Amino acid sequence: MNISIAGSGLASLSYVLFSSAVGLVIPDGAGATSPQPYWAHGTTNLAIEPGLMPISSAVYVMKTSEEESFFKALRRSRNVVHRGTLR
Amino acid sequence: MELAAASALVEGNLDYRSGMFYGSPADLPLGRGLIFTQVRQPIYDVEQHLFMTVEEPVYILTHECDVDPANQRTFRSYLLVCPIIRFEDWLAAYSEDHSDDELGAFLGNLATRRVSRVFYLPPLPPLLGYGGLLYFNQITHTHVSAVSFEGGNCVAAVTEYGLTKIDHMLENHVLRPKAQVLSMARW
Repeated sequence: MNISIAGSGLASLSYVLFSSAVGLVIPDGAGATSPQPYWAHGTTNLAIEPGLMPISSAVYVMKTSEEESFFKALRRSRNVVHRGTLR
Repeated sequence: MELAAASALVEGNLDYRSGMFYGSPADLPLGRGLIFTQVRQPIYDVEQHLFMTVEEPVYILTHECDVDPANQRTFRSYLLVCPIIRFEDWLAAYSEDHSDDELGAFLGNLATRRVSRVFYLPPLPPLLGYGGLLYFNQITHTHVSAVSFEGGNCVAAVTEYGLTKIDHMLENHVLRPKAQVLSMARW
């Protein structure tokens, strides 16, 4: 499935061109239509500034109740070894 | 929504490959990419406003060189871990307060990595029969002595492929540009 990052077309294109120029690996999945920044493991030459995906334009904004579901799940499933007490 | 249907919804929309995600942890030292069934760690309890000591599945974040006992360096006793929430545990909690439509929307965004602080780990039986969730805002620390390889506690290592996917999400979660401009923006 391809990801469509709204508003990032120009940045994506720039990234493709830049990536091609320096031989970076573009990950699969999203593919060429929406390239993502990529830290090439096993190499040392990829600490590149334009690496961050403009995720603010694509991010799913969780509701507070959705955030709370993670804490609920953690609280119920974990094995509590010690619980502190208030003084 | 039934567990199997919810799991199928995520798996069917994943933009990465479940089958390429895990490898054997054999002979790997303690370090980034390993998954443990049970590790003791502190977690803040918002209901009591206290920290608890808990044991739960974790994904290791700290680089192996930073906790290698063979390395004569300081600050090598603690490591960063991210708790893993079993998908079925989260689904039960989520479904209490949300409709199936909301669930479907969330799972679709989760599968395509649009939920910036949550990453879906593909199934890893028997620990993660229906997959798991890395909730990056729960990243915490523990002491190296709390992480044991005994008794099959280390169940897997992610592959280089899996590591790339997780690291990409982490990078975007913690390093994406701030919305506000801080002082000294130019110097």
